[in-house]
Amino acid sequence: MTTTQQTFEGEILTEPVVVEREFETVDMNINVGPQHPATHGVFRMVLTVDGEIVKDAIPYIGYMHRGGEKLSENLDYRGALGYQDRTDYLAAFNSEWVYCNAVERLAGIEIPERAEYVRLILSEFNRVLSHFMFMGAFGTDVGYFGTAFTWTFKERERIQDLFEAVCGDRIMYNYFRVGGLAWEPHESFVEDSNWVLDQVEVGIADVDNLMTDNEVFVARCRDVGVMSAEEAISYGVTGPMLRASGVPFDLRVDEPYSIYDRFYWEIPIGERGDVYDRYLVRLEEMRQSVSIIRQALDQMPTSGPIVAERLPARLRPEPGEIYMRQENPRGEYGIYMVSDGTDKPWRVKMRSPCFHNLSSLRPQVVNSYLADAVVALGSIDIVLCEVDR
Amino acid sequence: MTTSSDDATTALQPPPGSIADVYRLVMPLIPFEAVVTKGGDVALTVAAEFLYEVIARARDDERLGMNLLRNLTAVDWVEQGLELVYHFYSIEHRHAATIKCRLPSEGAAVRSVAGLYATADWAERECREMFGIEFLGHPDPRNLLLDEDLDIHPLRKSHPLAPIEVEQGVDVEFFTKQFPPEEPVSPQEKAADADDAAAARPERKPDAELTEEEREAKRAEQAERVARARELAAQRRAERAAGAPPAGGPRAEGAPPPPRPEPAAATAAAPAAAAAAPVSDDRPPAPPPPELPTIPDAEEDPEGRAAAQAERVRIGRELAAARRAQLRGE
Repeated sequence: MTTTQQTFEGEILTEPVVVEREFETVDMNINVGPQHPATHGVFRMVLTVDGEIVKDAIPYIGYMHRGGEKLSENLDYRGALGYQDRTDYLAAFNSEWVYCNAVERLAGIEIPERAEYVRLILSEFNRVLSHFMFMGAFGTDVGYFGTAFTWTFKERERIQDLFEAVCGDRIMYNYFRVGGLAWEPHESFVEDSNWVLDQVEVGIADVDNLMTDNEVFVARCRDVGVMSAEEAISYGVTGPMLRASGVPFDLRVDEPYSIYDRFYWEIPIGERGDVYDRYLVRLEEMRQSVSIIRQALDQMPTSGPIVAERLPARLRPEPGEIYMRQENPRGEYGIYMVSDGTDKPWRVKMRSPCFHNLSSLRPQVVNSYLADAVVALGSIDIVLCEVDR
Repeated sequence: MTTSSDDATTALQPPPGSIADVYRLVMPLIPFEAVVTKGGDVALTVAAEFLYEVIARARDDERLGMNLLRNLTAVDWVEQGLELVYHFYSIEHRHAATIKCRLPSEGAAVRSVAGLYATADWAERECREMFGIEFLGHPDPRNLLLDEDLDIHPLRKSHPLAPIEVEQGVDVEFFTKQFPPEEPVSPQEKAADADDAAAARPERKPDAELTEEEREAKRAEQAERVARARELAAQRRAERAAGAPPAGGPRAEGAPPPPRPEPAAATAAAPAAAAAAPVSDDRPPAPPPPELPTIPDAEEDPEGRAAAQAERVRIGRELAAARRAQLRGE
């Protein structure tokens, strides 16, 4: 509520007249979504705005809830694998990998080294692909209508062509199997990967030149959606968002799995924890992933089995439980799996990074401008299929 | 966690110096049951009354520093009740621990930790709707993933994998209409029906038992049936030659689809007869199409072509107007 004084000097009146007026502002609710281009999927939030300032934000999720955990519990251990592609469809290899690792650790299956390398290379490629997708979609959020999207999709397309050559599909790969891989990657896998890496490095530099130093881009992103390290940890935020807040937490290093201890790379972290830092962290992560893939391609054995020997036809792991977690492009993806000795898992819980990252939206957007709320939401890089599972 | 699979660690006691010992050191009065899971994590089971205290003290204590609640879920062990599972991690000390708590199946309630970990807000909401565990003191205990007015707990083992409309109770009426429940038939009624059917059926003897006369009669009956079928086939052939629409069989390519039989006729008569019967159309039949002028080639006679086209359009309009008037009954 504001009080203003206006002064009029009338012609007839000799003395100035002071008029007092009171302006009352009313809070307004704005419904965003569930079908809205800025929500990156089927996501709805109700914003309470006072003028252009967001006073409150209530997110609503669940529009994509398909009961994946219940379905997985009613399928056998191998049957639920295809469902992992449908959770995080931008990083399907990474999700498949977590599931396979969980079942293998639960059943005590050792997988051959060559399969580990192929899995790691494809998953790191998928990380680059996912971050390219983020750059494109986020660029659209902050106002690069078209340019960022088409440039990054050009690079994404190269990686998808490689995936298609390996496994025959562009998005729903379903290529990893419990115990190894579905089949050998094609003959020229290493040469093709090297060629794609050369192209992708140029693409990363292009995106860097296009966005990083652009004045409008920086003005839209700097000091928007700021989250401190303590706040981020309390909200269970993981992945590039947590690292942008200055916490060097990366499961590939902190709880190393698979063969990540054989490579050297660096973990980029941010200083301020704002949207711009999240962008920079992802940009640098792409370069580091390219470095990891190059090292892995050099180390990879040229021949050898890709499937573990003596796999049982029907998996019946001993009763026990495992919480397998790995670093997905969006953060910590976990599979909590409980076996009761039968051929179906008793309990499957998917720990989705986006679920926890998205829950931190409210403190980011409250008391910010309405236009910044869209940028903050875009910087979380949500995949709603993974949030709702 | 290491890369090698350590499947032999099921239900093993944690080794000395593990995170379980730190917990015991920090909270010496609280009883724990500690095991090592297959993933190499240490899982501690505590009683429900100590759960909040364990979590709060583990977060605030410097030696434990469990500041990341990475996962919160539950497991339904049907007869042994529910099991609440928290996965914690300390980013400073880089150690993980799993805290578990057994709860009864009905009326399970624990104190909410949403005040300690902000992420528990959504995680507890999901756990509450999926398993029916109440989190006391939760700031906003609405449904999260499910519909807001649904009061079901789908991840319980007692919840079947059934048509969702039935489970939700939103479309029971629709389903009962689609699949009406069969009325129960008593065994006496069933037997009576079977007797009636047997009585209605003419008695048939095997060929070897027939007398000469009966055999003759049967042969004559068969011959008559064959003759009738041949007659019908000839009639159909003649109809087809006269240009009548085929009664059945495959449609010629490009031909319009045959008219649908009226539902009443289809149920009253046999399907083949209904298809052969003419379509009931109370509208007067359209007059036969008139002779249209041929359109000459554009290069040879451009003026004649334009005139012929205009003539066709005029005829068409006249015909359409006449047909409209006829249908209106003028």
